[in-house]
Amino acid sequence: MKDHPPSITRTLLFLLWGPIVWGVQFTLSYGGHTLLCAQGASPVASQWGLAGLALLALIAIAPVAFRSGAVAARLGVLPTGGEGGFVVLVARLAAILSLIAVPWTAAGALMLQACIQGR
Amino acid sequence: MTDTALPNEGNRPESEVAELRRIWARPRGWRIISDVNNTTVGMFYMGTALMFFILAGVLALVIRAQLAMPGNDLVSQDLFNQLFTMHGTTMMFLFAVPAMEALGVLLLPQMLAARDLPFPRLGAFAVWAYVIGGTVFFSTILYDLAPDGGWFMYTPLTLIEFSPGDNADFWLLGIGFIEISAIAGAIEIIVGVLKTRPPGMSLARMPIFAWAMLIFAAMIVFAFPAVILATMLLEIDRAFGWPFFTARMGGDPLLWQHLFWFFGHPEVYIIFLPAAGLVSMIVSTMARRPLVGHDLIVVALIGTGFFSFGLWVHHMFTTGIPSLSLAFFSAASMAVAIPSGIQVFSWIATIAAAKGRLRINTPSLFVLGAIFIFTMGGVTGVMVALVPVDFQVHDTYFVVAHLHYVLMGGMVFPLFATFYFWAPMVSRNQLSERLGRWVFWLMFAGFHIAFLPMHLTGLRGMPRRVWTYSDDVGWNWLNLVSTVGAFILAAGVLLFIVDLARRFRPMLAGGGAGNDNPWGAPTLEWLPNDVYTTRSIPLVTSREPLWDQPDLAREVQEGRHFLPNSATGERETLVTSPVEGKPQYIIRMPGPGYAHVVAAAGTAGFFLLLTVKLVVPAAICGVMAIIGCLVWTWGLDKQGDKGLVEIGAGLKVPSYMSGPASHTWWAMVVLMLVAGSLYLAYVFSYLYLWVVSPEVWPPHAVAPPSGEWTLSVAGLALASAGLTWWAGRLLPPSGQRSGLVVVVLGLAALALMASFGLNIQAQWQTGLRPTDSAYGALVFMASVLDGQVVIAQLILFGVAMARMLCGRLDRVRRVGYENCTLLCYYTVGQMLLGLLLVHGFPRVAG
Ligand code: HEM
Repeated sequence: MKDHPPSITRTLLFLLWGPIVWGVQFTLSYGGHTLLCAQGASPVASQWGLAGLALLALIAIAPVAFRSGAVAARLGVLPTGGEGGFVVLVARLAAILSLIAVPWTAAGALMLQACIQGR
Repeated sequence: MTDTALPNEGNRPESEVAELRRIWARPRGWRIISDVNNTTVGMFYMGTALMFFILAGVLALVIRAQLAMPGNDLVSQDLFNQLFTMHGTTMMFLFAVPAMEALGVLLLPQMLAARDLPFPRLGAFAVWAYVIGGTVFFSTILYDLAPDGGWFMYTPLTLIEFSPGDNADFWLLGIGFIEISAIAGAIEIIVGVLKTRPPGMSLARMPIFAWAMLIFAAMIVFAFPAVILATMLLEIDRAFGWPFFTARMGGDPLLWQHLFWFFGHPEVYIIFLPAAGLVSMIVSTMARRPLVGHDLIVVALIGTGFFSFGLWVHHMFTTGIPSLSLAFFSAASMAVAIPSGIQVFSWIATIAAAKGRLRINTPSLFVLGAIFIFTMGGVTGVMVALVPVDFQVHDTYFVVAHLHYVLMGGMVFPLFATFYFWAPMVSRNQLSERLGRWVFWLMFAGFHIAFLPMHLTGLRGMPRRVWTYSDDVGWNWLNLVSTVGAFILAAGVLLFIVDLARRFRPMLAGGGAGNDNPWGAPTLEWLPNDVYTTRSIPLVTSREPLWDQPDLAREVQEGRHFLPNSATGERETLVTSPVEGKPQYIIRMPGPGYAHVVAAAGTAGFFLLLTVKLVVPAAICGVMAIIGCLVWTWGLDKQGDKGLVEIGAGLKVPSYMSGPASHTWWAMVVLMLVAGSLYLAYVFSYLYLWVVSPEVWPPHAVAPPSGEWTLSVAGLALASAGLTWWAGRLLPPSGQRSGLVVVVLGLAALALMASFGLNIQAQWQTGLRPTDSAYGALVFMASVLDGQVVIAQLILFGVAMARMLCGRLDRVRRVGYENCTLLCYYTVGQMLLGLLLVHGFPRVAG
């Protein structure tokens, strides 16, 4: 048995990295824009804020989406016995899915005027 | 695999089997209620869920009968309100989620070849709490006491001014309580999936259903606390007049909708994901090939789990929220179709890849029906995710049609497939294939006849929840057709019950089911089974072990794999590492008992009697529950270290584990996540109401307590954590006691109580009262939430001290201390965060 088996916390973090970053972006976008609007901030600032946040999220996800093997090795979450492929693949696909979700979430902010009531 | 690679060589004595049977024997007769074995408990669980499905279905038939003709008065208007509320509530809370948890209890350990789930009594407690609480809750419909505010109980309708009487309280206390039972089950499932898999079953080899259950349970942990908080807030608003939802006092009825749907939308996926897992497994077996895109399905499950939390506001499109929120949630609602679509395409690809070898029988018919119905529901789902469409059809029968298409396709049909597919695992006989096909076609046809027309009824403007309608609005024949369909569907369900009565013979009497793998399925639940699950715990080398290891069944039965006996002479199961599935240690498990049953009955009685304001009997039940829990806790962390035990393959593993590798530690961490989610929902509520009504906050309201108060409260809380930590350093060596530890833990408990009390005093002396405004209510609500964890923590302190006094706690046998410490750190953390928010925020914001 290996002395240091891959830690489950790190493995889960790696597997779920893309969706977690999306979750943070979503929460901050929604909560942040509500707060900014409530405080009477300029809608333009709020929109730029949201766009910046989306960009940060994309940057955070990119390594897991494009260099997942290297990230997994660095984190030490590659299990022994050739099973690493699964963890790396799932993390990568989840990250790619999140790469789509992030701009999709932000798109509304860029296309609509912030801070106006829907009706 | 060659014989030499097996964990045990040569023949094992038959006496081992006899001993396993003796150790795992089921209690006979009525004593079966004391049993904790997952098959017994799972069967009760599933049976009860099925009963609630039938009862809620009967309510649906009454609803449909009432709506069959215009101007009908079969039931009164008031009763109608109760009927649809109870139908929706029962289906969602007493049938759908429990049915899935029941599968987690019944099926999961068998699929993982574990002898039982890691906390058998917790599982049994959850079941009994649900059985008793659910039955009493449902019976309110017989006494005109049932809730009538719709299954989502919107405020302000459900505030005391507009819904006097106890009806709404039954919903709030009953459902809040049943959620707690669901959370208990979820903790069990998470720890079970991650820790009690067979050796060799790495994450990559885990069956899809186990993945689905893991994500399902994690979603429960994050979603259910929101509705628990919501029910607490509303009940406190109703009972004591703390105005969380009253607009003129700074509250907001929409807060309820946010909290409810933050739970309610993921709930739909909570119901769907395990069912999707079941469909994946049945499709692969019936197509006789591995699932196409297995890894993609795992990604889709993860994606759905996450994205489903970003959708809740789509239930609130028409409430007048800012347009940007509409855009966010509309976009997210459409996006969630992608992971769901991935799963559907994987199933279709697997069926296609079978090149006509797909076996068509009752389970596969139900699966095909499910895919068809769910896809139709998904299409109308994308329609209502479009804001303009939603504005048109909101609260009409179009939505009723949509929700039943997704729920029936996403959950009920897969569940019936499951009944037909897995019955042979727990019953001596298979269910009838001939009747099964009748059941399917009646249900399938009846479903479409009932619900397809509802799209049109809705588009023609019929609102949901109307008691009757007039003759001249053009809804007559559509409603009549729907009613006929509902009765055809019911005929299908009735036939299923007949089939069950004729053929289902559960294995509660002992012995294994007679049908070893009738479908040629690849997963471990189809190994020869008995009360102790499998004779030995297999070493798994692939994702489809029964296909790739053809001799596995024989080897396992001959005891040639791990743990072919009881290594400790007690109930036990193997714990493996969560990522790679390498053997780590053995859990020694409890057998039958009554403490958890008493605790469950007491807790249910406490909540339900409180609803009807019978305070003294409620208090008696509460005491009963606490005594039950204490007796239960006392028996944990068993005495008599068995040291290292041999499990096969020359491996010796410990029979006791503490610290981060232990299952208890994990359960505590998950519990802390639950408590943390609850508290975050509170933080959200606080900030939300501040955004809505800053005018009731300081500086308009009284200022928060001065800095000295804050520092004293924080100092005492930190002292409690510090003392608890120090007690750990003082733990005596094995077999000794230490009076000092008792004193230190006692001081820690006192410091915690003092911190809690001082915090309330700090607010009280400013003159602020919880009934003043939403601000006041939220300030004191923080203490209510602290109070909950403080009480739990005081009990843990008490238990740790008592254990020390009785020589049951020392440096090695330290789980009692660890639990106490973990919760203590959490409690102190929560209190400090609360101070930051409640004492600090008004200063900054003001
Ligand atoms: C057995 C066949 C079923 C029939 C005939 C049926 C029928 C109905 C009807 C007619 C309504 C609308 C009542 C109204 O708005 O006045 C309704 C509402 C509802 N149903 Fe069903 N249903 C069935 C199964 C289910 C299942 C399996 C679930 C969930 C798992 C479910 C969940 C709901 C919910 C949540 C509502 C909304 C209740 C409310 O408006 O508060 N139903 N059902």
